[in-house]
Amino acid sequence: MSKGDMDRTWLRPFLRQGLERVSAPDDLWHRVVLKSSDGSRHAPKQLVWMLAAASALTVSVVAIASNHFPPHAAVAGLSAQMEFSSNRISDVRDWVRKQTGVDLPLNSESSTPIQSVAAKICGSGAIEIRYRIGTVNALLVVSRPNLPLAEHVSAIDRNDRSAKVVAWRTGEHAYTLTSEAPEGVSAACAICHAQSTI
Amino acid sequence: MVLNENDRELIEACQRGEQEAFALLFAANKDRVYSIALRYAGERSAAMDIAQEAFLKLLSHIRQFRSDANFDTWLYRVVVNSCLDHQRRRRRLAPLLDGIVDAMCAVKNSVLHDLLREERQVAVHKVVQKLPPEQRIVIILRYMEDLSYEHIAEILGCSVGTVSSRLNRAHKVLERRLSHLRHVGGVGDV
Repeated sequence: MSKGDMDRTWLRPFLRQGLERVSAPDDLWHRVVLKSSDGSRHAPKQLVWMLAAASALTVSVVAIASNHFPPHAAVAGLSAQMEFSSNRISDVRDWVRKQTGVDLPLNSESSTPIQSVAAKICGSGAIEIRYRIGTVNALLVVSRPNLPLAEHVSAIDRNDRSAKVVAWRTGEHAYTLTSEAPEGVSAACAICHAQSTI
Repeated sequence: MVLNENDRELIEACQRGEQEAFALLFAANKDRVYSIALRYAGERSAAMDIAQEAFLKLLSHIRQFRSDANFDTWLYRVVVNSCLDHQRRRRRLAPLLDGIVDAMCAVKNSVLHDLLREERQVAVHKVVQKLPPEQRIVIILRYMEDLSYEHIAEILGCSVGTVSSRLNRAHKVLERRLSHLRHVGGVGDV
């Protein structure tokens, strides 16, 4: 060993400690799937569907076909069937927490593009949140993970050809997000995420 | 590293487009990819962009990967190229201060009350971030991933001599800037 190498033996453990591996954040997978489903230049079409179908960890993507998605059905048309509605996400978040004890990570920032939010608690205990973002209607269902995905899908009009569904699991809950149009999934994520993080 | 039978089967399953295979491949490599990105970029948001880009590239080119090739080398190459691409796009020369804090908070076993360990880690991180990109990446591959000079050379597409030279220059800088910590506490308690 050269003198330089001997002198540096103190440096190596410093560097190894300072450059330890860390755990990747949970939302990295979500970002990879979302980016590929948005038609990333790195993701050919068949890749989109492969990722869309991958459910080994927490994420699956399903396309639902329909001839007609009732305009505003996600919010206005069905508001009579919802138990609570507001123009403020924070109100809905508070209502859900009071009803179920679950504090959903909804984005309450004043700059959110979400309009007209409505919520209800289903018989199964699932939390249903319908909202509108721009011209897109969307539905978020939050439930216990042991409920099969079909339970979530049943909350959506099965005849809708243009809807797209994303499902994932975080912590104690399973989430299912449905958007009116294929390009609407990312926009609909604004219910929880600030635009800059999508 | 030569692929074992399970790794080979997993990659072949990804190449066939099997549903769960990529999720498993992702799970097996996400920490490694993200860690390299974070130590290179110095902040969480940039590291997420780099890691996301790397996995998308991995997926889109998985069918071109030959099973007799070295998967680890290929993976490292993808991550390193994503780091360098990101650097070129953002032309960032120094990380944001809050990025350093984010990175340090993400370190496993970093407990706030262990001030000496934290001080060393923060110091190492800051000094490594100031290295030129080509020196920074060889330091990360050598000390985080424990790769040999030959493996680093293969990943970077350069000679062993070049790797040695870059490490040598980086070591001199690191020694000078970290020498004040040499006799503070025991590194042996790592």
